[in-house]
Amino acid sequence: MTIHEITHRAVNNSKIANITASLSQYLQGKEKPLSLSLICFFSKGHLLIEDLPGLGKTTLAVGIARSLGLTFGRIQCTSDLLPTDITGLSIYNKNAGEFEFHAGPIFNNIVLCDEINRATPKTQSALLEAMGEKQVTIEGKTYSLPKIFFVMATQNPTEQFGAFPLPESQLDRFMMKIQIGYPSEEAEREILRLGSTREELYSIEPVIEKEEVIHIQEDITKSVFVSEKIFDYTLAIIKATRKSEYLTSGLSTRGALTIISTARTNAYFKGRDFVISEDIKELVEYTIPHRVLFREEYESLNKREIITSLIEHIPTPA
Amino acid sequence: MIKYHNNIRIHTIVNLLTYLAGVISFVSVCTEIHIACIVLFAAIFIFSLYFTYRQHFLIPRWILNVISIVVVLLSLYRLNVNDLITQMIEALLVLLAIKLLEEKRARDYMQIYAISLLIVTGSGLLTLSIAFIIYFFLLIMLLTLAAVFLAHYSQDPCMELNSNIVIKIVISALLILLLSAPFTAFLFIILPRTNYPLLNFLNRQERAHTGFSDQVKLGSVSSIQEDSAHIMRVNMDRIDESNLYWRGLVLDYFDGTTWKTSTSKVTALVSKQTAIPGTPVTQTIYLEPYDNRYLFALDKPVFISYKHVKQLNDAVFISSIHFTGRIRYQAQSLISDTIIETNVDKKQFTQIPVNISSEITGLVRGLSKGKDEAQSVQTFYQFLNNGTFKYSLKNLPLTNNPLETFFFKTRYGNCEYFASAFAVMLRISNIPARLVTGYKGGYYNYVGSYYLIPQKNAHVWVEVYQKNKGWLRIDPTPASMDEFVFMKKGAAFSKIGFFFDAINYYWYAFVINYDFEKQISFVFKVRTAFKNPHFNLSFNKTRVMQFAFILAVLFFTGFFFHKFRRRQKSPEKRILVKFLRKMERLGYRKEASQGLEEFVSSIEDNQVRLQAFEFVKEFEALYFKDKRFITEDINRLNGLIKAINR
Repeated sequence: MTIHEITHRAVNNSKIANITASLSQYLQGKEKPLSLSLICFFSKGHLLIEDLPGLGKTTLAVGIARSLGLTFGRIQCTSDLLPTDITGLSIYNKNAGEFEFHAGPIFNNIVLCDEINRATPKTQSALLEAMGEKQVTIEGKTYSLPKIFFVMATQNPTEQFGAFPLPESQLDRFMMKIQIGYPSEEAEREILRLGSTREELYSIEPVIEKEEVIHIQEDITKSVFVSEKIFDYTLAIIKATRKSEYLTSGLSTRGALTIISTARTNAYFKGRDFVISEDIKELVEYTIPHRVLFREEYESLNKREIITSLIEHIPTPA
Repeated sequence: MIKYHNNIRIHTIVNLLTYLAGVISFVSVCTEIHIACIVLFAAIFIFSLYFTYRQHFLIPRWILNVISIVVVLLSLYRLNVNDLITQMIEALLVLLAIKLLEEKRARDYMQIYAISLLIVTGSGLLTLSIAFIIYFFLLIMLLTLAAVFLAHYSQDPCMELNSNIVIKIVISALLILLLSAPFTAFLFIILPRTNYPLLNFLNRQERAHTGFSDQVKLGSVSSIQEDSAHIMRVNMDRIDESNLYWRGLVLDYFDGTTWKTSTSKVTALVSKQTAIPGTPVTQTIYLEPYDNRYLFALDKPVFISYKHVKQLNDAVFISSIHFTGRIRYQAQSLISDTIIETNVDKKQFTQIPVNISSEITGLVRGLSKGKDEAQSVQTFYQFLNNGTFKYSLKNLPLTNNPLETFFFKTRYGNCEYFASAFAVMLRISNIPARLVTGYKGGYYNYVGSYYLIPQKNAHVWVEVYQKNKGWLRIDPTPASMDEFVFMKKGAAFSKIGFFFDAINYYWYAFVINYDFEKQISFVFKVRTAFKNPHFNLSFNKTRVMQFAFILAVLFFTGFFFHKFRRRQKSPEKRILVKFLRKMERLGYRKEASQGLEEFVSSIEDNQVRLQAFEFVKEFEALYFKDKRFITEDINRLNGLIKAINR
């Protein structure tokens, strides 16, 4: 499944179409990452973007936040970043005579966590706890995170001194791992011509309301039907990853849940109220590779291709 | 997705030819075999078709191999010599069906071809109809084609052939056949008789054993009696050996050296004069060609079923034509040594040669002096059997007056001498007597339950007429029955010999009416039939009915199987299969791992893609929502499938 083929498919849902349309003028050549990000977002998952700096990760995150009318926070990870720099902390208020909680950037709807692998494991785990539990505990007090909570973490794939790569167990917490990649020559020319659009991006009007976003998220889990045949297909995929000669460990149950929930969103985006095999197939290369462990001898191969070829041996229900 | 234009998979071709071969071999024998076998074959055949269609062979090879061995053992176990060929063919058919059930490799296909060839050849032994030659040539044609395709198949089982190439291969294969056809035809004519010298028909005289003639010339029979050939095989239950006299013909005129039949014999019209008391025995007799007209049967025969045969009043059966080929006939005999006859022509049966030596008449007169008829008979018999006369086959007296030599000089001879001497003695005493020639004894073959009667058992005995009693059989030759019933020790004809002779017997029994002349005349018949513009295959009614019945059984089995399959497969699966087949016909094949939309979106043809997409959308909305397909849905979807067109 190539990017071209995915984008070729018309997005059938009018609301989603509106979001995509409004953002596409600012995100030239990033249609695919945009649509994947939206799928991830509406599936209530978190997104890990592995790419080089300067390819528009922030633009993507800001764009999504703005067009959906959501708050946006950004964390630039460094090795001296403390957990409280993410979660926030209580500061003594002289006037009130008491400690006052100052929420950190994580209390936003959409949080961009740049270069997550440069943060120390302690800070990373604070962030991952927040992602997993949708709550933070500061000084013995638990604070719930907003209902819409979407983390976009980025990491630099090139090995760098002083980086702390995320352990596999924590990678599993990201619903998808995507790459943005270089834009096409045409799109890049357009970007050069127009200059950076970051400023304008901050000023765009939301396409839908926050409540509507919540409604859509609920709607996807409630109204999109998943057939027994699709469950069978998913189970076959899981079994294949667990038995594959390329992998030392296959998909977790959480991974399987991810496959179904992303497929639901994908179906919803295409205006269907039921899931078909393609909804799963299109996304496997983003939902599976970071959750499985490859044998050492295959580490150097393209992991996405290995997973794709694995799926090519599983017959679809139709 | 694989796109293909008019390409045929070689596997499909080989399978098609193989199943056709199976059908031909089945049809060629289906009228001759047991109905259970037909049903079994049809059922397994349909299953195997289904397995082949699905490319999914449920039953592992080792189980099938075990079953095959069991079938072979079972058929050997129940092998009944009376119906050998049919049983072998039935076993072969079952083996063929099992073989079809397997997941087939190149050598399995070869085995299938071999088995079908055996079956069709076997059908030639069962039925001698013109249909055989049609089946045979059809099969040969198919197998030639199949062999050529199989050669390609074994190189690369996934090979796909362009239809042009297929046509080329077919033509070249048929050319092979065409070139081999004259040779095949030649072989066809000569092959079933290869146990005979091929060109014997040109020289008929040598072919028949000229052992048995209308007359007995004293001393001449010895050549027959040293002959190792066989005159006949008689299929019957074993009886008391002392009754084993095979009646041939009756001789009533003696000219001093030779016994002949007088011309005064009449055909027996249900004669009131003759009657035979005794136990009835039915025999099936396979008579070797011996170039004469007499039909042998156990003494006394009362009925023989064979064309152009008439019964003479002395219980002799004679055909109006000479037997130049091996024949088979049924005979009814009553075991008895007497033919009751109240009135005989005394002059005819007391005739003695005019030049009979006075020494003999003197001897006879002296022996019978003062004795009545019965006592005289007893005295003459004793005279010949008291030890002074020896039985011998060698150095027989061949003089102008052999009897005189026998009586007074050599005092040894074979049955001819003893019988002649006895008869002449009786006739001199004015007691009616006649010679009966035929065979005595025979070896019972338990393998085939028949008596094998060798030429050397040729024999002559005497029938004496006694007033108010009739013709009584008396065998004056002082040779024990054992010599005619048991083989000499150390004879080459051992138990294995019996076994091989039984095989021979069955072969004759099956091809008895199928000799070389028949084949030639058959070829001529076929030729004239084809020349005749009004050529029609006349089928007999029962045969047509049988065919119709078998076809109906096949059809209904297939139909119900199909129905059953349809019920098993859910309607959505059926519609999906229908759609995919349609797309395959249009040249688009869905890979197993492709989703429907993915598949459809990869179709290049815009119109087809849109039409197919129409169907897919409708189908998915039901299929992936786990909805039951109701009739309207099915009709709508079928309509959409129908609408897909270039």
